Amino acid sequence: MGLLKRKNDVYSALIEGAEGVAYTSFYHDAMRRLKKDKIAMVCLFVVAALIIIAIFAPFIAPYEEDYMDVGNELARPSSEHLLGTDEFGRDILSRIIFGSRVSLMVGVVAEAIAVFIGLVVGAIAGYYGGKVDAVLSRIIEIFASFPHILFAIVVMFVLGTGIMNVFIAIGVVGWTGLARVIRSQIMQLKQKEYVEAARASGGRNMQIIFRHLIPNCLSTIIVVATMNIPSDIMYEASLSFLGLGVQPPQASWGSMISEARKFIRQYPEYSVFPGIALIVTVLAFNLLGDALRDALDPRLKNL
Amino acid sequence: MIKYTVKRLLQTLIVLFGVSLVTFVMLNIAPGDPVGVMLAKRADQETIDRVRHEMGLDKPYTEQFIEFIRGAVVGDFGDSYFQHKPVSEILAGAFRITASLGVWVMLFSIVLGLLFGISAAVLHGRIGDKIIILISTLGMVMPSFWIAIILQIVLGVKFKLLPISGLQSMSSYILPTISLGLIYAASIARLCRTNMLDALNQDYVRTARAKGVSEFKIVMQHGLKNAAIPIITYIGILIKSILGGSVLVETVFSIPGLGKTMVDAITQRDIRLIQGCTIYIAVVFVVANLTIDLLYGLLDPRIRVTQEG
Amino acid sequence: MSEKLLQVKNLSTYFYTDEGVVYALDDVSFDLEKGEALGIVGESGSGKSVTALSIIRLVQSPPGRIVSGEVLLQGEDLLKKSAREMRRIRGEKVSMIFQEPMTALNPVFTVGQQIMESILIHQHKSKKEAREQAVEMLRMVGIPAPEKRVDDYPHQMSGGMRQRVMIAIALCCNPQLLICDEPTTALDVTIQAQILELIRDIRERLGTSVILITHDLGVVAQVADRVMIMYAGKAMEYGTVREIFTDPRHPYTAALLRSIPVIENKTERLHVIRGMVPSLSKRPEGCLFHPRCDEACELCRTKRPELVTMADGRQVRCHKYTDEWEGQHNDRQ
Repeated sequence: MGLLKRKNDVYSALIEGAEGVAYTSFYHDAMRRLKKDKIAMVCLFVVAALIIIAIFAPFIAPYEEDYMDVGNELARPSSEHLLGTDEFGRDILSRIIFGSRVSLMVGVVAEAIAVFIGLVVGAIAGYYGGKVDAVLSRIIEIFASFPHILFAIVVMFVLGTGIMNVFIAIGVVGWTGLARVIRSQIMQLKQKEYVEAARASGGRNMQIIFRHLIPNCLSTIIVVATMNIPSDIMYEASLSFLGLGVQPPQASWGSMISEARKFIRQYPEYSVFPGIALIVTVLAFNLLGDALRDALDPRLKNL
Repeated sequence: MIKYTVKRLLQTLIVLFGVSLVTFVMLNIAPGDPVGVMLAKRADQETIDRVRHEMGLDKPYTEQFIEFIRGAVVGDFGDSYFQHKPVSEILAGAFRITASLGVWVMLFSIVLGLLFGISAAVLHGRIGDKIIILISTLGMVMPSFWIAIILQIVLGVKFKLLPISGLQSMSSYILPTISLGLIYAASIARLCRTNMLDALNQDYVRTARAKGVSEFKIVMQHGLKNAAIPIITYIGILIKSILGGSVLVETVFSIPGLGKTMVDAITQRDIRLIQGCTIYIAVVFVVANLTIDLLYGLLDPRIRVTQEG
Repeated sequence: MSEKLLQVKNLSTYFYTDEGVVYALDDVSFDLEKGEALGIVGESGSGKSVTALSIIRLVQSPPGRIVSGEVLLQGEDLLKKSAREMRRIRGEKVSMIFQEPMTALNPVFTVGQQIMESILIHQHKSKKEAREQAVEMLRMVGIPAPEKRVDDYPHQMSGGMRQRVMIAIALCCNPQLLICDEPTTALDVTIQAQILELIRDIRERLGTSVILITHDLGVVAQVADRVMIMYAGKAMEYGTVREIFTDPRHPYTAALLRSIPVIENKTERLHVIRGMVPSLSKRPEGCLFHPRCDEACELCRTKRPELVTMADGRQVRCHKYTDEWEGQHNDRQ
């Protein structure tokens, strides 16, 4: 925890240097509020642990991702295999550890894609308004008028399976919420004096959007992105569960649950473990997102 | 109100047209050769050409699109290549199943969610409230397909109480309803709790107390009616989520609803069926959204005025 | 006229918060005769609203708690009533109207429904009769075309109209006591005058006793017979309206009076009481008002003053009127 605390201080010091006092006190206050939130700190710790596990998976996992202990298939938990083995004799614990890589990468990469699209569409719609906004708003509505998971399934069908395509599918599906929030924020911001001033002094539109407007939406972006990560992880698990996402032998919690489904009579606990990993991860990100929202941008509460 | 309704209807039509366009582009143009995708390595070039012609895929895209839209308007999505039946017929059957599952899920989650949400609001700050928060927080992050499997193991395999797959009787709906409904029940409980607490902290509740209104009536009338609007909005979202969630739960329990039809169509690469499913689901969802929007006006007198104005 | 309707004795209400105990209402006593109007005056945070809420036991709890005292309504202690008995009293014997007519009415019910609710709780009437009475009440509080307005929602009415509706709700069971908590603060000046006129009129016609809570001495002058000046949860001075206005005894009362703008005095700058009401959880030593008092001396800084009953019957909480003060000031000379 001491390490984390130091990191926060460094973080706020960096902001202080770059942005001056007003900004500092805002983030400083937010960080202070966050630090007081015990649940948030536990979640932060869990997320940090997950990241470490994902990065150092080959060193932490007792076995290789695809090592098969032939003759020892569907084994119950033992000292050799703490959580037992799957139908190919692969160590379940090791596969759960390697599976964290997929889940976390989805959270980062897919969300980055979603943030990029949402930011561009939302900023342009909000800044230009009028006809541009009307058209973009309809486009947002079209993309939002579809159950996300079904949309992702269709995209996966078009693109084909594979982890890169999972990122793209989830990113392409998940940007509409952020676009809406950014749109309305930019609409409010562009009426502020300093934006008028920038425009009056001949600032180009793109320059105003990127220099003045988007930095002011930063806390919103952080909050919305963090709050989206758990559902991204869930979408990946769902796609892989349906056999449309990450393909074997690469381990994903979703596909592990799907495989385990075939053996609920022989080895029921098999399906329990990857599910728990998924729940803990999603829960940690979920609560962390809530806490960040409360600390940084309570207005988003009705999202 | 009429002006608003017409405006919303027009917007809905535009959205539906957009959905059709996106679907068409994604399924017919993006993958290059849809028949090649569909038949994969199962056929030679000659067969592919024949099928292309049969399905009218050798015509120009614009012509195909117009035909597609014309079909979609009257509910004709062509024939399923693998099931040799009209897509609309397959979908109608599947929709009925998903709809009944959806109704069960909604009933289950609304009743359970309101019950827990109101209790938590009334018990605010006490241990009961905290337990409900804990349960609902967990409920919100448990994947439905996982709950489904756990329920299958415990109630189906261990105790042999309930059927774990297929649709033989009404009891076949019980496990799917619980697996899919728990998440929504948890969300409704949290939403209900927050909004009830918000409503119960308002000045008008103090006025009601000053009138001598009993606490029960304050909660059930003054609180719930004011908290209803966000909950009803959520029910709109619920319809969308159930359509999505049914994919997973129907797959686990082998229920031949819309979701399973869609997944099967995708595994079989049955393009016409995928297209039909997509449009069908979009229509169901958009119409549900529209209905909710229009219902709002009836519920919240403040919105009614803005709509008229 | 000399029958006591309400006697409040040594009432204290504290709020137990994370930052410590807030002494919102500290040992306050007063009484009210039948048909009388009492003004309770103080700045925000002086505990005047808590007084009102304590009387009808609607203090938010937790964190608030009535810790001691008696509230006798016709000799019966309201603080000893059960929750059910209390509900029968609220709205029937004691009614209250609040500061914010914008938010004090429930937005999702028509004003008619909200008046009827009270009638249906306290009187044995059918819905139809209740509705007729609601229309009558609206007519009485001066709402034009009440047959139509009865089906309006609060947002369709102006602030003044809503406050009239609040008064209609409060009066529909003909209560003996009407507590008005800042009834005009949120309203325009012209509307303020109308509402005050209405309250005065009701009092005369129905003989209802009124407790009027306000920060505005001008409002008190128009409606009340007697005044209690509150500061930081304590009563500082009692007197008739005439006494308070012509001969304020407490330095705080005097300062409040000086802060009222007088039109003839164009040149003189408006007097402002320096400083702010102290935090009620970290109260100063000695007299609660001494940090802002121009006449404060050593005694005021160290010893909390008691309520002094003077020869003419006036009551003031200030060291100025005690022997100790005399002694100290004589020493200095």
